[in-house]
Amino acid sequence: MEKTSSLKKVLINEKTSQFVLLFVFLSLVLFFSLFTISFFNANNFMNILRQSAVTGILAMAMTFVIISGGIDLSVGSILAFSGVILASIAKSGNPLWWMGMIAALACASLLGCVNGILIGKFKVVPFIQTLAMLAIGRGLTMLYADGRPISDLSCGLTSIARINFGLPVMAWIFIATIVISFFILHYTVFGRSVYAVGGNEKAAVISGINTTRVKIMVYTLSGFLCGISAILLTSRVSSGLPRAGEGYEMDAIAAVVIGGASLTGGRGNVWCTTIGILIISILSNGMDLMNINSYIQQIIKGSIIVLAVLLDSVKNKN
Amino acid sequence: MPLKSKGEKMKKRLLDVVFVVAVSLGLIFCLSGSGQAEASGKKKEKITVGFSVYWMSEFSTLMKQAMEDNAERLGVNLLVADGNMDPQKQLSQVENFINQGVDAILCAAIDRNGIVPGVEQAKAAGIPFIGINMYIPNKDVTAYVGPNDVLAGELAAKYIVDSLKGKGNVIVIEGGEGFSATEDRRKGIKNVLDANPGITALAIKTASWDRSKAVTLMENYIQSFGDKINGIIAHNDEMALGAAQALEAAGMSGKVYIGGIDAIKDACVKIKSGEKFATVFQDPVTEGTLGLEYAVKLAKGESVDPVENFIDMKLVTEENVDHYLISK
Repeated sequence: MEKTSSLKKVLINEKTSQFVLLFVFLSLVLFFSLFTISFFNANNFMNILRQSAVTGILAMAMTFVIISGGIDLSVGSILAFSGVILASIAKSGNPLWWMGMIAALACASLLGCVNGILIGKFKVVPFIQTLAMLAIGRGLTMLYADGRPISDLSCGLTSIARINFGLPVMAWIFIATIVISFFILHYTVFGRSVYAVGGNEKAAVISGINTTRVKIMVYTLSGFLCGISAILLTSRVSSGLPRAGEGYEMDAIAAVVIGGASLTGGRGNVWCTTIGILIISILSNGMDLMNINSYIQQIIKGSIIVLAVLLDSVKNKN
Repeated sequence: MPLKSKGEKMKKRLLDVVFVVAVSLGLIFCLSGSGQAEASGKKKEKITVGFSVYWMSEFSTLMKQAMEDNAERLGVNLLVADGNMDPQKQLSQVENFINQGVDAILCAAIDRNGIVPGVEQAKAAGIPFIGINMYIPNKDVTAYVGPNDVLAGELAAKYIVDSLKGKGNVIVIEGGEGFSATEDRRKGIKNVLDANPGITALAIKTASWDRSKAVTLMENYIQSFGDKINGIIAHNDEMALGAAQALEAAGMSGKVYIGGIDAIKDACVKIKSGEKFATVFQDPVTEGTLGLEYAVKLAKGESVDPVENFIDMKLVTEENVDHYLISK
């Protein structure tokens, strides 16, 4: 009989692996609170929430995609593209600046939809398709913005990232996105089909799920969420930066993997991804406060991703 | 597997979990020893200055080094954060500095607009915000220490125009978009080119401050323009050197004049060896030291003069390159 290691047993059982995740998260909070004076205060927690919102929403998008058995490497580029579209419309003095937000969401969803159609209908491998979109999206962004940042934006837009209602508005939008994503994944037919398609695509087809349509919707949703992220980021840095979001896909994927979702699909949930993104943000924030060299920070972040993926493969052995 | 009591199984599981957590924490703890002690608590008498820099180029590394060398003398606890070319990360670093309660913030901004929220927050918190090396056109910035980049662009362009005796074709290689250095150097170069109609700009394109990107760019331009190229003006030495490399590979070195900015060591060595190369000297040591001194003065509530300190820049050619090589 196979001797299953106790580690694997802990990880396979969803409840205990979530317990481990929470434990790691709380340990980090404890660690930084003890070793860094400026960590455990309300102002820093507000900063952390603000600093997590943009990549956090991308991680929500990534959660849907990874559960469906795919991956989306283009989130950073779609973010940038919708960001410059937004910035070009929401210029200072334009009373219709809010139309920029609608345009941004529309363009982002459109690019996501293109991904979805090529992946769902034409069966292009998600890694390849979204890698191509990463390049195409970035190219479109550079072309549209002529390589230059678009600044001088409307106060209406820039105030979004600065207002607090108790918590920063950015945090509220992030929280709202988490809650809505949770609702979609667990209380709608679409959500359940995402799990089904990711868990076993052949079985999903047999049970009558239109996998093509599910995939198109997943990637379109991913694009839409990138649009929301773009609104927050553009507001936060007060400009449409053509180079925005470079490398953000790595943080999004890391958050989802750390949260315990399986890269092969069918497993994962938004709360664990949220803990994943908070772990990443806390690490970054805490290490900044401890004045740790940013290159060391990168090494640590990479090592944790490797660790999370290793534990994932332990889960999946046999 | 023989019967094990539930307690022992739980222990095994917990052991694995604790192992994973302990390793990660231990890693962080050990590596944190290489970071400096942070703001409050340990060095109350010292002035804490937070320095956020766009990325660690050769130039900014020398600048940081100068600050670190002077920190002891000035009684400063210096915190350094690398923005890694991400404006949002740099903004987060500034927010963290403010939260830590630093006495002053020095910032070499990646994006002159993207950093504005940080400037405003610093002002609201009563912390002096000093721009260094990259100009930030915002009234809430307390002071600025850095190059006159318009002049730098003019000097580099003038060298090429004078060398070509007012007639010829040039390629302009620009720095990364959004950086104030790029915008100002572009202005300076444009001033000179507009005043010299005999010079034609065949192409103006960015290579993002990067040597290898400049190599690729030049290779393509050599393909398109070949012998028509008489001069190259680059926003920094790294790109100028990349262009030189491409010319050498095409067998064209010695036929084209190249003007860069920064006077890094490799560039000075090239000038010394007699090649048609010139650069503009920007002193990272002066900038870093002065920047830190400004930060200390402002943190103590004293005033600085001039508030916007544009450091002089000098054209470096064969005649005076020795002076700059000695100090390397």
